[in-house]
Amino acid sequence: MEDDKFYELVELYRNPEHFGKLTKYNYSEKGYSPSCGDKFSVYLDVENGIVKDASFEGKGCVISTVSLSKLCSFLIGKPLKEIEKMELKDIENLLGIGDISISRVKCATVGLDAVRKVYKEVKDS
Amino acid sequence: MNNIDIEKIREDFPILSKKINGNPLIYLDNAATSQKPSSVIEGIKYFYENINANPIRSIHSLAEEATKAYNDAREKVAAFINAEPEEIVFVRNATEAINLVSFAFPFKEGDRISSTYMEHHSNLLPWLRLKEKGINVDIAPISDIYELDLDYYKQLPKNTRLVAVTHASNVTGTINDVKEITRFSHDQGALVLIDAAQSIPHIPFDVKDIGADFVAFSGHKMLAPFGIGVLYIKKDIAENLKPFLTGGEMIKDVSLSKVIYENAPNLFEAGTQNVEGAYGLGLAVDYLNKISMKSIEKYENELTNYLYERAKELKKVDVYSGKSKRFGGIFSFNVAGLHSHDTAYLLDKKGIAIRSGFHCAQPLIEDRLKLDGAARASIYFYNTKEEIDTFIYELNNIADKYGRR
Repeated sequence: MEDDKFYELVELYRNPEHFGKLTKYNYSEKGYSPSCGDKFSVYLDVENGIVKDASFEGKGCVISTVSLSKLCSFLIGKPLKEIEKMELKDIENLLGIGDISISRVKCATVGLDAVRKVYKEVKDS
Repeated sequence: MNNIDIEKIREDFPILSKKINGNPLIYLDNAATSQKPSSVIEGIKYFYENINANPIRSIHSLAEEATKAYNDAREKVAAFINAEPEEIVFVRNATEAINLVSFAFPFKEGDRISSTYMEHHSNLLPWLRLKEKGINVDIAPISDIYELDLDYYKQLPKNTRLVAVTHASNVTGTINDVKEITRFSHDQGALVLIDAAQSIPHIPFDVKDIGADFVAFSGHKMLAPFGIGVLYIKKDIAENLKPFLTGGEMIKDVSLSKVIYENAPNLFEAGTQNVEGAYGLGLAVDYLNKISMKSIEKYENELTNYLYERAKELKKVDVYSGKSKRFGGIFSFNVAGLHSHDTAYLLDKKGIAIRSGFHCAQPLIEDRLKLDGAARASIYFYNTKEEIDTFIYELNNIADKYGRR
């Protein structure tokens, strides 16, 4: 990753979009990346399978925080089902980088994992 | 710093001339694992080309050589910490050593174990798991300069059977007075287990002088290969312990109705062991002895003092280690406003390898230090002042660019 790109991500990390607990939500899940110490909660307001609103809170590194923020932006207004086909590559695209190193994969996918859990819950109910 | 011929030493570690991201590797992640000298790396090859057979079991000449190599390694390790060979049990690592004790110790319901707030998870989770069996775990507090209160050990909770304590913290660097802790604990009838994973690689360790009943440490942090570690069990303690793993070569006699177990250390070494690893650990001990632990301690102290002196120049960097009266070569820090993982990432781009995150000491970092992680540089005797200079220079640049109060 170029220094400028990283700097840009750090700026997003300092004031991330969709940060904080939603006042109205019907699903929430926790996400962990233990080696890093990341601990997040994801809140989703889902109506008829569509994500009306999404947010997250918690603490983590630049990669995990920004990927969660971007994932929320991406999901709002879309069917929750979208998460089913998403993978690491899609998170890299949201971040605008293509070289997540092995040790950072868990950081990048902490939100993906949490939203997948929500999707499973919605599907099972 | 002339007690150590640093240039000659660095030539013994091939990996130190590697480049990382276009820069010379500056390896400051020694508390996670150490690098290995050629004598150990080539020794493993020698073992497989000349000695390899299953020791203790088979009686052919090659197996005898393997048995001898295995026993020699045990003797070397014993001498290194001033123990007897039969007091040395080979295990995978310090984690396995401590788990072994948690299974083998004859705890009864209502017994108490004393751990501390500065433990690595390896000296905490095996004890917390025993809560399921009705055993209570007390956590000794630490002071604002990250020291244990010795008075705590003068008045342990009633029924404390075992005191588990780290010799050196992998986060704060604190070196605990384990000799005094052992003395006080023994006075009250408790046995003592010392996690020496962060101390034995760095300072002289005399188990008879300290008087501990159990000592756990890992080979890979002291120049040896991965997968070999040591549990010291004091001679007169071993006979009261239960077996841990059962299987090959840990018995005297077996019938389907009765099993007579071997004595320690064989009792605790069920199955074919990591013989290559033990041999490698023996060679690692040879290497450390050649330099001498006293010289290593002296050199590392000088290097640590130099690091902390230089660190005073850092702005927008918070330091969490090195506050206790005695501490080792651990430097835990954060760039203000930046997650430790991101600091580690930025240093890595300059070839500098450090650790970040919780360091497997989550209660300490999260509950006690109130952090969501910390970056950590940790030194060994092959590090240099010049490497410290580069580390401080690059860290300062990162703090300048990204640090926010």
